[in-house]
Amino acid sequence: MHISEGILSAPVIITGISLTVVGVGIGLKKMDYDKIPEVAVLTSAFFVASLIHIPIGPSSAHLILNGLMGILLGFSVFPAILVGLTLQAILFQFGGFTGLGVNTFNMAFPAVVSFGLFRFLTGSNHHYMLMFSGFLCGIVGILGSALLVALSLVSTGDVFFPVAKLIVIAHIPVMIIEGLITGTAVSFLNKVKPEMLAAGGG
Amino acid sequence: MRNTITGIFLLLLFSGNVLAHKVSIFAYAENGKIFTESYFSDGKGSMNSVVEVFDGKNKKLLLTGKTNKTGEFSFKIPQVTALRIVVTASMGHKNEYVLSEDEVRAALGSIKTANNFPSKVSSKISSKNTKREEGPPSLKETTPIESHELELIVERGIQKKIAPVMKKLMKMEEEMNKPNISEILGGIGYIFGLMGIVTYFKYKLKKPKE
Repeated sequence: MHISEGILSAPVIITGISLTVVGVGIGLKKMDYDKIPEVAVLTSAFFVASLIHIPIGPSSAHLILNGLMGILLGFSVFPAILVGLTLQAILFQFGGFTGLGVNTFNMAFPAVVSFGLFRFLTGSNHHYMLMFSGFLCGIVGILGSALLVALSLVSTGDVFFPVAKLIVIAHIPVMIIEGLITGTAVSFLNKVKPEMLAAGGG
Repeated sequence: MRNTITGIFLLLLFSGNVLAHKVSIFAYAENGKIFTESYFSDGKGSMNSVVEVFDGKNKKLLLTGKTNKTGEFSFKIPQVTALRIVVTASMGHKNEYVLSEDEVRAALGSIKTANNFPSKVSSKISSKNTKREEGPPSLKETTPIESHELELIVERGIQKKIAPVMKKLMKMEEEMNKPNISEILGGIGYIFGLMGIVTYFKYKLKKPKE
């Protein structure tokens, strides 16, 4: 999901940066004092999750956890992912600096969508419904990112549909695993600390 | 809650599967050819990736090709300059490797000597043998090794000796591209440091209200 340096064209880079700046602005403003440790822990999880490889499928894919982050953080997922990606770029040479805006938006926006979707689905607060919504949001996070990456690559001359297909297929194992992780995490949180889900980030 | 997060966290950290998502390329020149290897940092070769070879100076595209199933691609040296080899794997992964002019020239040099001199060497050796049968050779005839032959022999010897070293170097390069534990812990440290900074500012803003 990390687009490397030197692939994207200037308009895409600029669009990505502006969208990310807006997202980070909203996220920082909405981030409460009590929310900060949670954001930091999830940022760390995101930072490390990219090192977990899923050796299934045609390409090399790793965990992202953006669905889970979105459910718990809401808009605060933007600064969290920006920090995580910046550190990954510096320390692991994943992605590039110029693509930071685009990469952040590609991963954070589906997370915000997951946030909205989760709130929409869990009106009844039924336990299994929560679990299922978590599973679905885990999938939506990855699927959304895959589609956004494909969209970003269109500007480089790739045709949207085949690229999108390739990326989505490569990430099917990741989607399932993330769905399971997110579903399990949500059901667990609902038991031990339901206010984390109810408050729903900032 | 806190325990779970710590648990997940430690699990992620020590899962042993510390691998990265990035494509890398490594190239070396040998016997008039250039061999490239592209791989994702988990060591899996990036198959069917487009490899483009550029002139190192004027950035002219010299040739393109595709990697095979193990991520390898080789081609004849197109010209003796520095070469910039760019690999573009699927899904927006890209990296490059620059091969210096010296390396390219050295590989071309060895093929030239290898092609031009073997016949001479063998003929010399056979002539030496026949002479030896005829009678005791004079001092002049027993040391007819010319500088070209010597160069060839030395070069072959070196190449044989250096092959395992080159392999090891490639392995090390691959290893170095993988994130190591200090980088991971460093990154987490940065995140918590940032948390401290954000907390500091938010705290100051909130305090007067209370």
